[in-house]
Amino acid sequence: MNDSSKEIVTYDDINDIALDIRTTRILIGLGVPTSCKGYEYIRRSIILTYHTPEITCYITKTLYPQVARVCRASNAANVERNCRHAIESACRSSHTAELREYFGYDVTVHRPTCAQFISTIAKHLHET
Amino acid sequence: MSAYNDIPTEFTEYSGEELTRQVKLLISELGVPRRLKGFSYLCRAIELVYMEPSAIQNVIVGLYRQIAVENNTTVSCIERNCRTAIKLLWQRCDTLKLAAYFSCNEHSNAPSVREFVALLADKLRRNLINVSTNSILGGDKT
Repeated sequence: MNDSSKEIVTYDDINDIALDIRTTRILIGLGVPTSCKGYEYIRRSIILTYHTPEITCYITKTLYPQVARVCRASNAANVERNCRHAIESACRSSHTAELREYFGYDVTVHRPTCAQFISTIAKHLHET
Repeated sequence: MSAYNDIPTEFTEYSGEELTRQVKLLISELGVPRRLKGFSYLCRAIELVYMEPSAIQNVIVGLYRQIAVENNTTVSCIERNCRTAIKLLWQRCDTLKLAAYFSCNEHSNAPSVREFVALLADKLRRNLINVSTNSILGGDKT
């Protein structure tokens, strides 16, 4: 984690295409609206977290700036706000059964935070 | 979660005529009536967002204006026609399956134009849709 704030992850492998498609399927199935900017940021964050799971410990220092650089956002605060809005829209949609299956609790009562959301889905991608 | 077990190992990139054909097939399979002007406007919008994914952020200034210039109409005309097309789709088809597809509530209104176009362009880009075998909604959609 010494120099990870200066890395840019590039997608050249065949494995990354499969990971991209799996993440897209999960996110659309959970009800995240595709037109949100947060959709793109969350997808990129999940792929980055899949490769280095401990990046969620340094989420504001490392993950959000890297996503902002790759996805051409303004700054880390914008990324976080858009991710939060996308998760809010997903929790308000009608896909409560899938959300409950991933998170194990009723998301309309207690909304998961961005870091929880990203790391839960990345962990699920690891296991399946 | 879903019944998909096959992950495509390579992307099929569509362009030009093939892209138009695929998008038209996709929208008509979903159930948008073909006779509407909004059908062709939506098709053009999905093509544009497919080729340039960041175009969905500027809907009125970018997308609608370009389609309006191509069709020699105004921006509000395009917007109204696209909205009518989606509304008719919502009225005709099984709203339960469509709502699950578009991440809406089945009792709420139709998805907005932006969400419709973004979702279909994204799915087409990542080959999550097989238009030829009519497996969009996972079965018959009568």
